[in-house]
Amino acid sequence: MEKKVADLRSGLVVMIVCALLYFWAIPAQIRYNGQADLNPDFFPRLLVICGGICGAILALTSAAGLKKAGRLNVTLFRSPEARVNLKSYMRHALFLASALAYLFVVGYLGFVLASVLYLVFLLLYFGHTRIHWCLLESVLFVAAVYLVFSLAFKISFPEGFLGF
Amino acid sequence: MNVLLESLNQFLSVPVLLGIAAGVVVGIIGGGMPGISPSMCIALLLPVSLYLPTPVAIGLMMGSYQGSMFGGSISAILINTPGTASAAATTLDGYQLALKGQSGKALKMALYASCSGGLIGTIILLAMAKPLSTVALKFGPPEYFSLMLLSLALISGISGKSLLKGLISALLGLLLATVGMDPIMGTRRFTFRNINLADGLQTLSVFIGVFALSELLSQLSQSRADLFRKADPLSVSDNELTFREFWEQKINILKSSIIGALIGVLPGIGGSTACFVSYAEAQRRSKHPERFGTGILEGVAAPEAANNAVAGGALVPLLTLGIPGDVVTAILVGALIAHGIKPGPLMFIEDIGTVYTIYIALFLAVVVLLAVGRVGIPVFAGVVKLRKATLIPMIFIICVVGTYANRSNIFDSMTMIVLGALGFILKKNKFPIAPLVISFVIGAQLEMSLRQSLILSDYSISIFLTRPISLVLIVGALVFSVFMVRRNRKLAAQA
Amino acid sequence: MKRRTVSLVAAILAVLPAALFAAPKFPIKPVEVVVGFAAGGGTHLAAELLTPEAAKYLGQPIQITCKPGAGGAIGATYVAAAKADGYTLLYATMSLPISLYMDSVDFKADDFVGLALASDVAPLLAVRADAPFNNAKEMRDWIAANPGKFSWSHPGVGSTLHVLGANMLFAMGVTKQVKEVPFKGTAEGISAVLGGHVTAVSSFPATVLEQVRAGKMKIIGVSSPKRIPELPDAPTFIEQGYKATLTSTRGIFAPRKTPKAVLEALDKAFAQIIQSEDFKQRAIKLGEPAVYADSATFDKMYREQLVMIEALLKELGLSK
Repeated sequence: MEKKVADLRSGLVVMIVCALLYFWAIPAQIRYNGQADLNPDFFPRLLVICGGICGAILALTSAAGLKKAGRLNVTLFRSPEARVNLKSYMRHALFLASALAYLFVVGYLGFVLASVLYLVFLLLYFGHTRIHWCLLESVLFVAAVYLVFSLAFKISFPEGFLGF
Repeated sequence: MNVLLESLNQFLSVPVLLGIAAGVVVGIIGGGMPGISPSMCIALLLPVSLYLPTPVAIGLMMGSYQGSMFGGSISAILINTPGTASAAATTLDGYQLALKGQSGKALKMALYASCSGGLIGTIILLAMAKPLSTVALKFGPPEYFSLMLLSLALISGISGKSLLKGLISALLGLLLATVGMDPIMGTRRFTFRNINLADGLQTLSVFIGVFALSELLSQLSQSRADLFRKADPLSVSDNELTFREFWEQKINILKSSIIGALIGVLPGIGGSTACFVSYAEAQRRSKHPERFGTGILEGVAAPEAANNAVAGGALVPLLTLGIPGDVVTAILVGALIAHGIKPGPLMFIEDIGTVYTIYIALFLAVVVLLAVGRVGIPVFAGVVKLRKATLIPMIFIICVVGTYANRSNIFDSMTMIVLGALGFILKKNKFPIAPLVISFVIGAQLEMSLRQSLILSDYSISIFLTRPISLVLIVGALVFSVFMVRRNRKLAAQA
Repeated sequence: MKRRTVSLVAAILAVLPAALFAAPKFPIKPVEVVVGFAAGGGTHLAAELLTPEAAKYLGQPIQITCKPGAGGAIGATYVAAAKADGYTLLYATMSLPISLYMDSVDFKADDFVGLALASDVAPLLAVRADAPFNNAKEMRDWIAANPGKFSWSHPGVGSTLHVLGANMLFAMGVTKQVKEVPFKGTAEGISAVLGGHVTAVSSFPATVLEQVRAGKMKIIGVSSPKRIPELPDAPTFIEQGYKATLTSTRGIFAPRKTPKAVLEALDKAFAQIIQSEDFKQRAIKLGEPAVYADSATFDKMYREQLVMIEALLKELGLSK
């Protein structure tokens, strides 16, 4: 039953996303001059329509299943199955946010310094407790990655104010 | 025959063998590093090779070509991060095997499949280069489109239990592929005025984000104690690959290699398409298709055989027509020209010696790959002994570096993170993610050849049905789709 | 490795006093040359030609960094935004001026100053050997007699070969009667021509040379003021009476705000590098012509190109 509820939710979300894409994102993000037989927005629009139909089928079939079980009514939306427990995803959100922050800072601190600091943070965040050990591990790992990629494979990393 | 012996004689010297070995080692390491593509490996060796005698230089390049095709599987299996685009299909089963503690087994399977694939690809190149190149030229935009359609139909079989959800995921992949410049008119699409998106989402950002990062995020759902627990010691007996296990894959490997070589012959279609198609074909023919994706050897053997066979295939148009079959062979053209060799239609007539040199280098590269891989695998396999609390942060840094290195662009690492979140959400809601990745790979070519064909036919779709090769491919696509839907029904009924 | 460390330390020791006490000296660290195209591609390999002699003439090595994307515009954006200290240079093709007028980019024409011309290649229009016409005039007549039958390929909208190819067709006055089919790269375009799917391809000489020699393709015309040495038998457009002489130049650019002294040092070094015998030999091996123009001349060329391309794109209906 829980799967049916999740599918109903997914189907609805897919439909909403497709509608948003069709009526907002495509007109706003694909601008072209003139007219051709096939315009640049033809293919995306085709895909979005197909997606919307698939989403609708998904929502309808799961709704039908729920109706058979007599669950398709207002209380469904308040039942525990329908709720997404956002709290359990705090860790994921924090991880992703910190990752974006790290990528943003890389340009200023340079790859090596930013990565060492961020790796120490991640190690601590994931349950390591000995900070000296984390620092050592981070320095060694980042140094190894840096040397392999920059010396052997000639990739130049963002430089910070320290010059590396 | 004399020329062949002469070329062979050239090769049985220490410097040449050393050149091949060096190439293989650089290839394996570069291929294993996410972000260092096979073409980057060869581009890196190119300046060095200019100072070497021609056979050594060719050996070096062929070695790194074969080496990097295998190398990509190492990170795909061990940390779920495809080292090269061609190794993306290997993550599907390879990483699951590693999770079961069978990383050594998976790596050995990958190595033997790679070597077999490399060998079969070379034999196909040797035996059928001329006829294959004639067929390749018959492939115009309509044929490419129909072939992509057939690949999509085949691959839809990987979508798992719910065909509908697989379809939504595939459509999302196709939509992601439309980001960037319109292939015909150059209009920017979904770029949000950001120039870094002008060429679309980078394949590696999609692969690493959707496969590797979403997996890291899934593992975050475990408790801290679980993350911090030491990995279980691996039992050695379970981690060996027996000859029987390898031999059971002979048909699978043979077929995957042929698919890989044939797709490699067509200019412009990358190795990752070949790998996904052969993976899907292995699943279609398998007696237990439902076990694909849970960590079985067939799922490693098929894509790994295919991606090394692509090398042989991609050389077909290069040696017979002077047209590079993929990015790597395009760089090879530059290298050969710099050595005074002119790849072109006249090569078989004027310079058969070089053609043999390339054949022999490919063969020897496979042999050396086998040897180097055997020595290296126990070293690589040690990675998974780290505890997750240490491994996840380090893999994440590798993911960032890998997506950065590809274009030296930090923006690609950011898209990787966004795509990772997307992959995680899809996974949580039980959407299969393989169809998304595959249709992303195929999407750009699909749209481009569709619209190229329509321009050529004045917007009449009859062009796809009046050309024999295209018609056969489209009928094939229809037959496969019907087959897939019916099998999916049967599976659903069983469950 | 060890030797490298030792020499690094020695270098630092040698440089430190100079940096601290003497007047600011250029360069004291490796110079980064950004290429806006993929590693291993033609432009990258041409840029790599600069590296072997760099240390000898510049005093510091040149490091090539590939930042591909948006037809070179991503690399150009990066250099335009970088510190104008001479340590970040751009190796650009004609797509630099093209992107300014065809595309919305975050840099301006005035952000760059030309440092040195390093390559100059003539584009050409090639067809399959059995095509029912042999020269530009016959082709024109054939197109007029067979409307909608002629198609041509180029490696992507906004690429140098797109604009130069469009220019050739424009000079022949057939733009309206032909179909344009972009491909992913020239190689794909050539194989489409060989397979008979597309009539013509806009290409550089090196890529079709062997096809012509093998009798698989023939050349309708070369867009160049005079015939090119690789293909002495191929007529130019201008000698056939069509005004298409644009060639594709490649060269090194610096941010315009770079200090004068630094620009002069770079100009001198590139003159020595590009005109050295070793460079010439490597360039010819790679199929690149060995040409050179100094900063003043090349910058003037760049300025002229800007004006010319703006007008050309407007005429072709390609400007944004």
